[in-house]
Amino acid sequence: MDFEKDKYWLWMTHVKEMWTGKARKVLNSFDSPEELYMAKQQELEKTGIFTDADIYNIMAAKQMDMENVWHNLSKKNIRFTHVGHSGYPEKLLLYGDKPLWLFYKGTLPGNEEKLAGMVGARNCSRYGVAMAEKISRQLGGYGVGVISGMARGIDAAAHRGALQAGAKTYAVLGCGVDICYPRENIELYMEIVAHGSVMSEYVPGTEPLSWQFPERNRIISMLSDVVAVVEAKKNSGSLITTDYALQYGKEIYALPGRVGDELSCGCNELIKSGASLLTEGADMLYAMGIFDNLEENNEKNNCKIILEKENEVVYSCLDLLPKNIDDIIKKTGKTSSEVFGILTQLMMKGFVVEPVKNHYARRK
Amino acid sequence: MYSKVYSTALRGVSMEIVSVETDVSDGLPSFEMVGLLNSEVREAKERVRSAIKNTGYLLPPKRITVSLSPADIRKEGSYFDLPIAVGILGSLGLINLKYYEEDILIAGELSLSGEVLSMNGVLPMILAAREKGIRRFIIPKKNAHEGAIVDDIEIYGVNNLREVVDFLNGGQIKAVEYVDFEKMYEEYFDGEDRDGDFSEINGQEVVKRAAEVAVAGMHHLLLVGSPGSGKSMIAKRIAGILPKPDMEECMEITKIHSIAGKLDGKAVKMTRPFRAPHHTTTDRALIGGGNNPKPGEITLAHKGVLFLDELAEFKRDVIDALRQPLEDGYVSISRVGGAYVFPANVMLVAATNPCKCGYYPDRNRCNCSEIQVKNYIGKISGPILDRIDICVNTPSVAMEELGRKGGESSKDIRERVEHARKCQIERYKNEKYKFNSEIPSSHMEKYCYLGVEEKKLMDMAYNTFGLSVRAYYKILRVARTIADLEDEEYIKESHIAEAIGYRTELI
Ligand SMILES: [Zn+2]
Repeated sequence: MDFEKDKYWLWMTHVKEMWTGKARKVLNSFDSPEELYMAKQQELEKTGIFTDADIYNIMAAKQMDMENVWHNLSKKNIRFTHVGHSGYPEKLLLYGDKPLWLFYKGTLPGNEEKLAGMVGARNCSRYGVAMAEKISRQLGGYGVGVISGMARGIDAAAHRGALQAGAKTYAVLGCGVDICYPRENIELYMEIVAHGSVMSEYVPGTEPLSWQFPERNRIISMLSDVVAVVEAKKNSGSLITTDYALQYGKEIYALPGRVGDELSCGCNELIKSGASLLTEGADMLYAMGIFDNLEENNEKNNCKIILEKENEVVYSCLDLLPKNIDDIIKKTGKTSSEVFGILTQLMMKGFVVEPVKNHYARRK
Repeated sequence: MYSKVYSTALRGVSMEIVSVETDVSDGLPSFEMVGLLNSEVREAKERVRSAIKNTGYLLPPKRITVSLSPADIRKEGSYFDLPIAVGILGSLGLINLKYYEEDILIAGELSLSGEVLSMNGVLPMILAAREKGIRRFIIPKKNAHEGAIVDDIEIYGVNNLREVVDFLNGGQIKAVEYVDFEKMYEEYFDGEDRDGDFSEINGQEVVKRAAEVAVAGMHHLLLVGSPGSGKSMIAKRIAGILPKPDMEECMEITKIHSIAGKLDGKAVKMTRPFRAPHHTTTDRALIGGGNNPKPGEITLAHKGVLFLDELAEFKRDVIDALRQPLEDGYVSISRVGGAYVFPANVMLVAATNPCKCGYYPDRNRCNCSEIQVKNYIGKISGPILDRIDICVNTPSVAMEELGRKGGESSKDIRERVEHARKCQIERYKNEKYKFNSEIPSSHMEKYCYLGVEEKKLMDMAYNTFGLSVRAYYKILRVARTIADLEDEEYIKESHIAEAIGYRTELI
């Protein structure tokens, strides 16, 4: 980053309400942000594309001390890139509605880097979380990074899976990159910055507003080579990402679910209308042009759990969806104190979790 | 002329004997009442005047003075109407004075027409009076049988003032027949009379078991589950698996219910109470209180079950007020006139939804975020959770379960509970406490001894589940109870594992 070279771009991002759509229009009338900066008030009026408020905002922004703004960004380790800048991701250049600039913390994906987008419900099931984490981890094992939105639920699980595999992961935020939203993901946020980046087209300090979230979904789609949906209700926000993905010609994968489960409606609907069926990370490799190393990386082969026979009976009737203790007792035909005993053992060995009171699930 | 009868004043959960003295003399016509009266008692004047008139007597223009003593007891309630009326009629010579040669206790509220209305607190009143040597009672007919179980006394039930006058002037009223409580107690437990039986509950094996363990060791219990999973059905039946109340306990329960006017026409209450105050209740209604302190729900639940449904919805200060009574087994309220102590020995059964909508983790019905779920459960006050040893999930009952006949009866379960209680009585005969739930941490080594394997299991659990020291002890106490239910002298691994399943860390 070079202040002298980028200062007018940076200035333009700081003009109040200079959202991407408007900025694109402006840059059709002006060759560069610098030209906009130099323009006198009459020249701005002459273009006919500005409202009085716009002109006021532009003139007001000229009063800003850009050196100070620049200094503050570097203090927070926030970087900046824009169209025409050498660091701007090439993948984005293909699309008409690309972001004109990005703020980011960490490092942006390289132009050859393979990335899978993964999105899904915020209030998802335990099963959804476990599957998102698992698929993401498997992808990581093949060297594929995961890009998502750092929201609660599936998004967070997708990032976590990639981190567990030691792979890269990227988050596109619907607010300024200096804001961790939701707040409880702060540790995840730091991890993502350390192993990829958080990025946003909004100026640092921008609060998370609901209309900004669909917008960031388009960037997730643009940067992804394939897009996976893990749990989505009908008409959910995650499907906005797939709409973009379709528009940009990306392959879409969806995790199937039981008919009638609300959280699977969106995914099943996608499959019905032509999305590919997703059951494991390897499913997505072909569409990304990865054909080798399939065998040795397959996680399934090396996580066979060996248990004593008694424990096996209980373990085998568990899955990723938490089951109530009563159901487990009924299925195994054991007494409640036997089942409690075995579950306690399995939990202490780390094979089983109890995410909800007296509901038990396999850890992975 | 002067006359004296006895009556009664309510004080907290006991009845005090009050003497009612009346003097009618010549002088300026007046009607004076003295002796720390509350407004309700002061109004007796008007009711008495009117009742006497409507019974057919004329109050002559004389100076009437009524004194209620001892003077330091605040007189509350409307039991004084009848004794005052009798006192006045006696002083006027309209009632034969010879009946005052022997002490008599009269209590009852009068209507303007002279009818005697029903009253609360008959049994404790009679017991208190008998201690003072009073053996004859004139009380409202509707409540007269409530004193029937007291031996060696005469109770006369009356419907109106006219009957009282005629009786005292030599008429006949049949005294209430004595009921042999001991005999009744034995007969009663052959024919059960309870609020539902455990055999009516299908499935829910783990919940039923947890309830049994909780009752056996007097552990407070928390049920977590969706609406319709039968939380209140289970809670209601828990009173029925508590050990039978012995005769002394029956008397204690009856006295409290008599004063609260909740005997529902029975002479003795021989079932353990089940009280379920709504979550909008105030701390005064739950714990008791007021200027002239009245017992709250926790006292009405004494020796039985206090059920708090929707625990997370109760106001925090209301729940926090429960803390001390749960610890002590009684409520203590101090007022200018001295301290009031209300018994409050209850088993607490609480229930809560897992989240605001109630259906977590069923994602087809629940759209609460993980944070919202945590916040909802987090609303439950920590100090109260600290006092709950057992927490269990009540699963939603599948349709196919509904038609099926359930399992064991409350009687079968109660027998096991009584056995486990016996083990505890024996073990703690030299201690200040009676139940496993009360074992202090300093006695853990002594009463919850662990073998090598068991110790290893507990240590591992301590680390894996990130238990607090408090939670660690809770598990041991519950494991002790499970061992008692199985008649084992020492706690075994299986007991510990089961107790771990009931641990109360919700988040
Ligand atoms: Zn919910």
